[in-house]
Amino acid sequence: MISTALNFRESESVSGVPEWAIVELQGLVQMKKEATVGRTVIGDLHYYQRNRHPVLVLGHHILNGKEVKLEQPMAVIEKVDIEGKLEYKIKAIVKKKLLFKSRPKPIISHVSDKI
Amino acid sequence: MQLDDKLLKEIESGNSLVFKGDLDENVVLCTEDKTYDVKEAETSNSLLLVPNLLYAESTGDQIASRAELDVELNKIQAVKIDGYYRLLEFDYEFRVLSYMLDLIEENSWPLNRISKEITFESLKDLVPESVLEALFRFYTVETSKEDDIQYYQYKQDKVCRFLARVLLKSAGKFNFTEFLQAWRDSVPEGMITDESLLSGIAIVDKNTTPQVVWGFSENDLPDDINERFKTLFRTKAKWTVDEISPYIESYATEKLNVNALLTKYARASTQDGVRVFSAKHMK
Repeated sequence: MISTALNFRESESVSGVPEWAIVELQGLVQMKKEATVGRTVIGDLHYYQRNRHPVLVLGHHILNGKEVKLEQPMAVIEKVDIEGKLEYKIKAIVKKKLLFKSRPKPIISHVSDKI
Repeated sequence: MQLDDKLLKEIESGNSLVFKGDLDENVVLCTEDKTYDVKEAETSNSLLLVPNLLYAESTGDQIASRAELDVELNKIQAVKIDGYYRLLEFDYEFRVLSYMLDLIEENSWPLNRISKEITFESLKDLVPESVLEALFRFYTVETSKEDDIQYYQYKQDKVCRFLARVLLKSAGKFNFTEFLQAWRDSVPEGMITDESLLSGIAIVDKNTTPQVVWGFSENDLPDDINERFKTLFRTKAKWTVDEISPYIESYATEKLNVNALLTKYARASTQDGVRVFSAKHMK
């Protein structure tokens, strides 16, 4: 069984720097419509209730993944130009990722009720 | 930008880091007291950044989908009263169900022609409507429709199982033959009790004289699967697959079915030509 998990919640580390997550996929996500501006829904992310593993449904494909702690944390930085002086603002830090490294499985209509 | 623990601490304590370097030399990153070499790395994987992602551990059970929730609530027979889900006490459920079943004889209804309207009308002063509504839904199925009147039938197996639990409720073992008689007498006329219905709610020991039966429900067992198997084998040394299934089914998954669970947690043997399972580690 799968439970829907895309409820959003403000997550912050102790210091007030937001903590973000990385969703890592092999290859690229290609959209049919190019150059979409702003937010786009690319798929559905769920967690299996059974083993807590993440599962990503992208179009007609399903990807099984796992939650991984980054060996080395990352910082998300943004270039800002303050009166000609270049600075990088730390937007967020990332400590964990959802890694989807297995081959996407196609969803065939007559088994789709299993998913 | 990939960090080490020291850099992470710097960021978390709100300190700034400084990139330094000329056009003709490598960039370095400086903290108050350290200098880091900066290297560029490439990956062919896509890294999508997700703010505020809810991880599995923090999702808990509260995010079960509405449909899953309804299935579970129905399974545990939760009754919605004034906007709150409540569980009926066993004795109360028995009392209300008895009122409902008594109407069958009172009105000489054939088992497949139960009237919901008359049931509700007769009991409206005794039982809150929400409770009646819920129990009627749990215990009946629709049958025929005549002259725009819908008739119902009580789910025979469910009624029989519940009444068996009532009889077995008090602690201790019962003479199996006497129990079967009392059980037959307790159900509405025309309903047939059958030993197979006891699966998951009672254990029958046929190796004793006289044969005995006692109540044993899944709810009484520990949630931890190892503990559960321990308790099961302590209660009864040898089980057939059919006997033990109701108590471990909730742990089965698509990949690991009941048989696989038994292979993993129990020892199989054959007794009088029947495959039985016992504890893996005999004491």
